Amino acid sequence: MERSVRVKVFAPAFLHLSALDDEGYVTLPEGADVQTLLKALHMPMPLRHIGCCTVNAVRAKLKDTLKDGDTVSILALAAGG
Amino acid sequence: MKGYCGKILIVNLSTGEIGSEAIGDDIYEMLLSGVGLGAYYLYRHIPAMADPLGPDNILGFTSGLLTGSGSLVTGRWMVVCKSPLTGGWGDANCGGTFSPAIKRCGYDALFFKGISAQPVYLYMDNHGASLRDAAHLWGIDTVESESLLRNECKAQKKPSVAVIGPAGENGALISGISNDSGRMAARSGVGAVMGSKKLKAVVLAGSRRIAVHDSARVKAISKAYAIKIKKAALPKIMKGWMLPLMGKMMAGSKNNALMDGLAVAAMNKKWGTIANNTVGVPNGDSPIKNWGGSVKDYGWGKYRHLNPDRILRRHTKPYACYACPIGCGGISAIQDVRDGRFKHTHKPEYETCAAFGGLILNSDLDAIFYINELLNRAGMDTISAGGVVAFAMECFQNGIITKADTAGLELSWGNADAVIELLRRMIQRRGIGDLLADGVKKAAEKIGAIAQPYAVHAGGQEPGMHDGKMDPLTGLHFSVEPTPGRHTIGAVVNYNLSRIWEFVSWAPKVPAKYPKDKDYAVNEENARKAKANSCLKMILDGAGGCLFAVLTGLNHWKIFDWLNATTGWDKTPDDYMQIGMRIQTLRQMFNIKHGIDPKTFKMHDRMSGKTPLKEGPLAGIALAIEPSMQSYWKELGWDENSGIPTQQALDHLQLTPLLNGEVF
Repeated sequence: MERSVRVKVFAPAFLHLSALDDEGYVTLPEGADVQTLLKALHMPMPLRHIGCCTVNAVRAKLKDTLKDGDTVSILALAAGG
Repeated sequence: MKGYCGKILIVNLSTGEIGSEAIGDDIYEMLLSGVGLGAYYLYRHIPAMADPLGPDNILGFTSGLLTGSGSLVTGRWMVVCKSPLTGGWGDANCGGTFSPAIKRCGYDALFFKGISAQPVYLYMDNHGASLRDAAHLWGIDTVESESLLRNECKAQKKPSVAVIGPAGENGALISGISNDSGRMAARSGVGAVMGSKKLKAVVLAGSRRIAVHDSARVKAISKAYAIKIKKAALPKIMKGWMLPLMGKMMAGSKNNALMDGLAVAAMNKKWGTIANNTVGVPNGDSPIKNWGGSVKDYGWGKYRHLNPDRILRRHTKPYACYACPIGCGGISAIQDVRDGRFKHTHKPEYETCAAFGGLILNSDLDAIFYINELLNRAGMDTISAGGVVAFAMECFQNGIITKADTAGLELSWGNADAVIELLRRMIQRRGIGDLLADGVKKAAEKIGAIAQPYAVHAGGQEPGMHDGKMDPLTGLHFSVEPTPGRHTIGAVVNYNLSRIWEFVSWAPKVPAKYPKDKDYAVNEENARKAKANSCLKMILDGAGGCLFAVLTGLNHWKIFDWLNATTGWDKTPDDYMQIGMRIQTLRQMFNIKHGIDPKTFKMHDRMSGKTPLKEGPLAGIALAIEPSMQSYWKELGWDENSGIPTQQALDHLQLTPLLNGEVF
């Protein structure tokens, strides 16, 4: 059986959120990197490559490998209030 | 007493008497400081039905309970009075340096009664307070006045100054009060009240220390927060041109999701509020063409000029408010703009860009810079002024206001030159400007019923630049707030980012993702979220907190812990929310005392989509605003049909003795 990692994701609603479970976690194959996650969320190309996400509150690179229990935060806007 | 001074200054401008009054610990425990202390004093001392511009009105400047404690993002000051715009409770708040200056003089609040025979200003330092002649300052703008006062009141430490400009002096009901060279506590018509009292300025030069119960604990919480904010940063290659893409995707999304507040902080650190300039138009947040249009009327070819990166090109100096690690402010160089009259201005806020951008179909960014400084110096609220200009333009398009009325001004949509001239006339109350200087409600009443469809307001106040049809809790708060039309009280996005359900037992939990439709439902859960927004905002305004800190999440910005560490209290978040509820209810009771019917604060039909927009991201959306208001009132324990707090609610909140005139 393929091993997997489960990461908590905070993402803006305009991304493809079907990959998230009800608690906001995404399950990925072990060894998956940030780019894999952003692809799963259908992050548009111009935004995907600017490094606008953090892993455990540290700016992440696309090639960074995700570990089980990591928290990934993707850019957010408070428009609307 | 820890965190607060335990006394207030009372100035009678009619007689020149200056005195102080001790405030018991129990008042702070029940109402905090800031807006709570203001509501406590004003409810008791302003007689029912008092003229807002008469001697019976009281103007208060209050500091936050956490201001100066070593906590972070808690340096906002509040102005309170009976509002001449709405006829009810009025307040406004602002960042800068004035809030700690109040406490450094040894007081939590300064209250001004009566009317002075001549223009005066109050000077206060560690040795006491005095009223001084201000005749030589009357008619001078806020920035120049502040500079003159600083020279005149030379002190060891640079004084902090709150001052009105010509708009407030001339009684424009949409005027505010400035500090730090043009930063405005702008809402509720507080500048007109100050002008009516012939009070030009308040100059504070105290240097007293503020006692804190557990300073080490406060500092530890602050350090942890500061580290997180320092790390929150966007990559340099993130550019403003990418923002419309986000806006368009938001408009197309059927879902809502939990975001990380620190990511919002990163946006605010890079751009400040102007990050929303080019997101808000395509996603529907920004009202267009006097709330009757959409991105179809103000497309990319126009709104691209408001790209925040273009605004930052004029950035010469970033700044932060007192004790704020986010630092969303900045100074812009504008010496080459238009007639070159102004050398600098504060970086325009999103509200100003939207009010003088899409709302009037203007895409001349230089004009917005110029208007920003013109109004900051005049002491006029940019939100209300933009709303009034949009109203006048639509009246002009429909022949209700003609060139004969405007003395030749062509008030066509987007005509920036005409807008600047119109604003000058409003500040000076000349010609058509005299009609418009008191806001859209008063102007429409004078013009007649034919103008009412274009007079977009809530309870007499022009609303903030956020469409409630995009965020339905924003629309609800526009309509149920004791100071209606305010965009800073609550929203779905605020609630979700705050993560308040992790702290408050009754606050509904928000799932990681959910269909956006759920936000539009009229039900107990959404009413309870709105209640939480209101209570939390009252805590903020009692503590001096900034909304931007809430947006980083209460899991990071630990206001409840700071309050306990500062005061030595041992209150739970639920206890603090009860205090917030008490303040909100007291503000509502102020309105009831002064004859306000809460139902009349319902926002204009155009804002709720009674006739839905036909185009754009909000096409077809109509809010069930009346049932939402009733649901909110019921959730707060107020009568669901009238919006009047029930006796049971007043008893539960221990407000009855105060309302009966007893001191508690």
